[in-house]
Amino acid sequence: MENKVILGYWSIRGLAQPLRFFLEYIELPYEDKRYTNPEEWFGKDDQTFNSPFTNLPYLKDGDHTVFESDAIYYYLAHKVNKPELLGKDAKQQTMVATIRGSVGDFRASFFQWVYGGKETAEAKKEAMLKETGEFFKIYNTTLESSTWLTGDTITYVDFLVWEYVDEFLVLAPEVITSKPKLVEFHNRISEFPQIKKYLESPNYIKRPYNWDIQAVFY
Amino acid sequence: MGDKVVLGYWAIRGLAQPLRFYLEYLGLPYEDKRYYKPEEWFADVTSAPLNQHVLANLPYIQDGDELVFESQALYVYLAYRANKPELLGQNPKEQVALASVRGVLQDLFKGLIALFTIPEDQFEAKKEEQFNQLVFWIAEKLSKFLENRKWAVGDNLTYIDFQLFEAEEILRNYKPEAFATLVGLKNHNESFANLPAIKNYQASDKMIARPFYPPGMYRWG
Repeated sequence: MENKVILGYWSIRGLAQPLRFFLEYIELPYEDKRYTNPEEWFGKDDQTFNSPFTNLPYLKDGDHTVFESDAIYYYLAHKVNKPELLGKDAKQQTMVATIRGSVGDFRASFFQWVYGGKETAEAKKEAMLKETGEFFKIYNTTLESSTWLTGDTITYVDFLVWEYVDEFLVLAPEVITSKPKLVEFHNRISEFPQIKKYLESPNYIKRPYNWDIQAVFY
Repeated sequence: MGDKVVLGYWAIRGLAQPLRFYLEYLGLPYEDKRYYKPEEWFADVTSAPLNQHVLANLPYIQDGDELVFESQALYVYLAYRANKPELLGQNPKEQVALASVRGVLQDLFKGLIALFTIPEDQFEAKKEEQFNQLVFWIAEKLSKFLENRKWAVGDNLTYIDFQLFEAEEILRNYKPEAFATLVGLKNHNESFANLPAIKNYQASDKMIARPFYPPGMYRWG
């Protein structure tokens, strides 16, 4: 049995997609375990862990399992000895937390619409695009004065934002294409050799972003 | 004004209360700038220097020319400012544990807000069921995790303990009998309240005991 870590999550992009990109970026061999039916997880695999934090996504590394998506980035960065991906100094670590906090606010706004009910989705879409557009404006402006979102080197939060840039290029492209720095940022990550290879591989699953049963966009 | 950092926030506990405890614990001289009305904040955020920052929001830290936004980032900034980076987790194991607790705690705070923003006409009827559905099971997870631990990441205090304490205070005040059953949280709550800097601050007239949430906007605070 290989020494691969196992990333467990639902068979959607969701919270795990930036983690999948991160794993590809750091070139750590992993098993991309996807749960398609709730019965595969609830009452089955979730019973094999004895942590009070048992949840999806998880990262299993031999006998040790990490829960909470953000914690998984910290675990992985240290595992491959690349702590700079968490912020290389006080200034960048502070900015990592700033952008991460902002992404949390973005998610609250976006997912209120995504899971807010299909009947009212069209009516609420414009307001949602305006609100989320403000965040993309912030990220675009930030990229005008630094190479990456937190400074001159890449950190894991760049992957968090990339995922939503990618999703909006499908959902409402004009929100992104009107912001040249975001377009360039999206291309820059896509063009990393290991990312480019991943994007062209059968392991990369482009859709759905979210659960198609409840989500208004997937 | 000298060397003081400025913490800017509404005149409630909210996101700033753990930061106030944190500043007291760090022993950093600070100004606790409180905004009592939206107009006061609007005036500041639309003029220099705040209007030059795309991320400008409450809470913020102003440190000379430096401005930091997003509550989680303020803990990072202040730990370095006070030369106490150990509060961010001293090694990978502590940093991972901190991030894990932070993730679950954020779900708890979200659940509390969802509970307290139930429409006024439905709150009384739904509050019991929603407390259990939105809040209590997450609090139980955290409580279980904290059993047999001194602090959130283990033996050492980190900034997430300050946020945990605030969640405990909300639970303890809102539903004391339910809180009393959460042994892990209860013990953590007592240990934290007994830290000298925290004890002194809570006894002082600088301490805002209530409200936790903006008055009038939430069903409880």
